[in-house]
Amino acid sequence: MTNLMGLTRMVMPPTIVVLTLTACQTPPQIIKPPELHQKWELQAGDRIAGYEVISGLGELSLELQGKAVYAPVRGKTSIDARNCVYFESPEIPNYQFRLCGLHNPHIGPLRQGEEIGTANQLRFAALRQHPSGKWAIVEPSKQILEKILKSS
Amino acid sequence: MQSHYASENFTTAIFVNSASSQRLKIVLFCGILALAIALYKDLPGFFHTAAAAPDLPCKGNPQAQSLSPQQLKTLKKTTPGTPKSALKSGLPAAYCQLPSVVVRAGAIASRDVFRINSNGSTEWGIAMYESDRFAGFRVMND
Repeated sequence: MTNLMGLTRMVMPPTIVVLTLTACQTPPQIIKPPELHQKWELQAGDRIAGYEVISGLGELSLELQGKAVYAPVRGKTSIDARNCVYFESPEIPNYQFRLCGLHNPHIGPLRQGEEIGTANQLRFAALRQHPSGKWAIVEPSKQILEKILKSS
Repeated sequence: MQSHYASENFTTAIFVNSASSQRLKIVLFCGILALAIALYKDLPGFFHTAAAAPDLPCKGNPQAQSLSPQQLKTLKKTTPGTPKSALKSGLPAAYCQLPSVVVRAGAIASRDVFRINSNGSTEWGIAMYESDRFAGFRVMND
């Protein structure tokens, strides 16, 4: 009995600490998606005949079969209401990448090669900021896509 | 006889105190080590207040000049598409260059790293050019 009480005393404090830390973790802040330069009639997130449009013009769909995607350089991620993740980095100014379809994405700062999340079907878009402040969907290079799809 | 017992008790007390003191030292050492690891992991700036060199894959010989506040303001306000030659004539030599990168299909981007001295600490900014035109500028910690 004494041993049991001793064991409880030993185990409880770390458990309480872990539970407290878990409870203190705040969910990631949901950002407003960047305003797009292109004004297409149908865009991802719109609804038509009661169905949601899940990808729009300029998005690249990749069959990842549950594999991971990685930070191509150091940077940070944020997430919007549609669970699309935005990656940006001071190493590539005025660009950001939109990654939709990720499971359990990492939101916050990332080192180069760190995992952003996994996906069955990734919908990817590269965005470039115009002088107006709006973002244009541009064609991503194979080089940057390879860096996102490989950890090294 | 009494003296003998007293001596023995004293020796035992020293031994016990010494053992608990050792344990206390180990606990203190582990605590300090854990605190140092936590601070190092969570507060990099706690140990590195001023960066002597950027944590970037620089190439070329580092240059000593820094951006003046006016030059920094100019870079931040420059419109993308401005010819690189027009912009660079008003800037000091870059601290170093980063390897070229292709973000957008068909557009090879070159990148200059600039040192920025502000309030006694050193920051770093990256200017990117695509096809010899300014594409953007960001300060590393912005």
